[in-house]
Amino acid sequence: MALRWLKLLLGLLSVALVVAGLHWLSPELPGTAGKTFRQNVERDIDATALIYTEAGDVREFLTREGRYGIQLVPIEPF
Amino acid sequence: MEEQKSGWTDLWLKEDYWAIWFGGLLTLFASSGIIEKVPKFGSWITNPLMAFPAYAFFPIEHAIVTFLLIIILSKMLIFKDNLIFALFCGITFILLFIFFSPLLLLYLGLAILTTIGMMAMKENWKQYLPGFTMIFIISSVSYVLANQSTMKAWGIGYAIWALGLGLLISNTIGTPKWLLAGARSEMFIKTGLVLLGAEILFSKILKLGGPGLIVAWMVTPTVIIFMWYFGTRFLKMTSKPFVIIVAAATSVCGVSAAIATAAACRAKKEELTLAVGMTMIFTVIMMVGMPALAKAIGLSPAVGGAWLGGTIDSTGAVVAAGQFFDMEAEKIAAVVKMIQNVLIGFVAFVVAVAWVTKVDRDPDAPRPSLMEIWYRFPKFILGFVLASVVFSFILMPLLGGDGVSSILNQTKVFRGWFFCLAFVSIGLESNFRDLAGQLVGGKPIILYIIGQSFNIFLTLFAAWLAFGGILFAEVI
Repeated sequence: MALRWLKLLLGLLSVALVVAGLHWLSPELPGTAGKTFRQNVERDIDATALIYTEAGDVREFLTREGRYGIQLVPIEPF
Repeated sequence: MEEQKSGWTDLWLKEDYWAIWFGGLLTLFASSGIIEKVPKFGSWITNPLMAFPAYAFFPIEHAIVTFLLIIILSKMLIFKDNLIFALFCGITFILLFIFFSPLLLLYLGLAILTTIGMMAMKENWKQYLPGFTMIFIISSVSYVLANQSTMKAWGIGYAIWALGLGLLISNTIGTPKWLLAGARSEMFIKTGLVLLGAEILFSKILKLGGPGLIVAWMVTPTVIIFMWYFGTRFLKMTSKPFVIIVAAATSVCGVSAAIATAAACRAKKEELTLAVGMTMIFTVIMMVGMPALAKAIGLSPAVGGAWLGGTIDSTGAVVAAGQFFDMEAEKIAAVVKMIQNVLIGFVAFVVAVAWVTKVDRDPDAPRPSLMEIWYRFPKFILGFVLASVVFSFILMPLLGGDGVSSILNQTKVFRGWFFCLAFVSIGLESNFRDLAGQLVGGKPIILYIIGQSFNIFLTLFAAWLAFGGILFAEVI
């Protein structure tokens, strides 16, 4: 039983290490991956958003009339 | 096949209906102003306590110092005057409540709501409540981890942390029985999906323009059909629910589509876990690789944006990839992805009908009657569709975009919590051995890679036709 708790503790420690490791290493990453990461941090992009409503305040994505993305892209109705 | 009975008592005895009641009540509370603000975790860099909603009003350092002072003082005074001790204890409680109150209130609200449902369904709510409490705490930890700035930038969201923490517990100390009693993964997923329905607005979608519709709506069904036949006929995968989950996740919008499809076809928990895990890993890879590829090919911002929006699974990653490619491309990419999001409900509905009438049916059995189909149909899908219809065609004309947005800004937080609770529950109920069993032969990964490659090529072709000035005038 003690071994199982030790495994859990090690697992949680690994989680903390993954977060800390990624946090300290990511800004130094070279190439496209590093550039993408730095851009997301600088522009505060939440890449975890599953659908558009999670990407920010819903008002940003809907017009007063309830159209999608008019503020995002000026596509005229077809 | 023995015909099953369906009655009015189902309305308060079945989980599917309770998902609709939960979702409907929370939406009603948000619409009527009873709930004005649902607490959310904030972003943090090195101090995880910054993520807590009340931190801005009452810094944790102050809370800890105050708490310690109160303990020391009350210890000194307890022998002199019990009334003063009680007073200090009261102050401590109030301070702690101020600090954690938003989260505590959210916990209490969700606990009371779901416990009422458990009581009505004649489930053991006394066993459920302690388990739910712990699952809520693990969900909070998942949210805190997902809100770390680096995790947000990489797209490592609450779903993967919730699954990971649940799996970690179940595969180390084992999930205790009292905790399993609170792991109502299906109830949480179904409720989350009903709430998600409200976010899927399609009333004005046609006014966005043909180019977006061609990329988002013509490619998606083609990819699903291709992956279905590739998985079931060519790879001969025995788990049909898994094939359709991966197909929906690849072609529609990743994790949210996977959840909706899995619930519609009643997939195993391990199948959803694997599909979500694969989707999230490949989303990060595509977020980094796709814009670089678009630049290397020399695509225009419009074609490149549409390509990124149509292929990368989650919206957050689409925005990140779009911005990396070109600022104008980001706008096109985000809109294409939004149009694609609308297909979640349609795909879930079609999958539910197909499973009840065809896939899940004994081929030798007689054709099921309408009542049998109704009995086996997952009713929460109707809640999903109803929420979408009400928000798109009733509330949108009544309240306008601003009014609907203010409601959705609350309901989307509830939806996220229910999904998070579901993923923790799924993790607690799964084990690595079953997951490894799903991966035998590498077929799931082959299915994903081939399907995604097909998606990438077909979307590129559609984006070129629609946004490259072939079928329509160029938009930018």
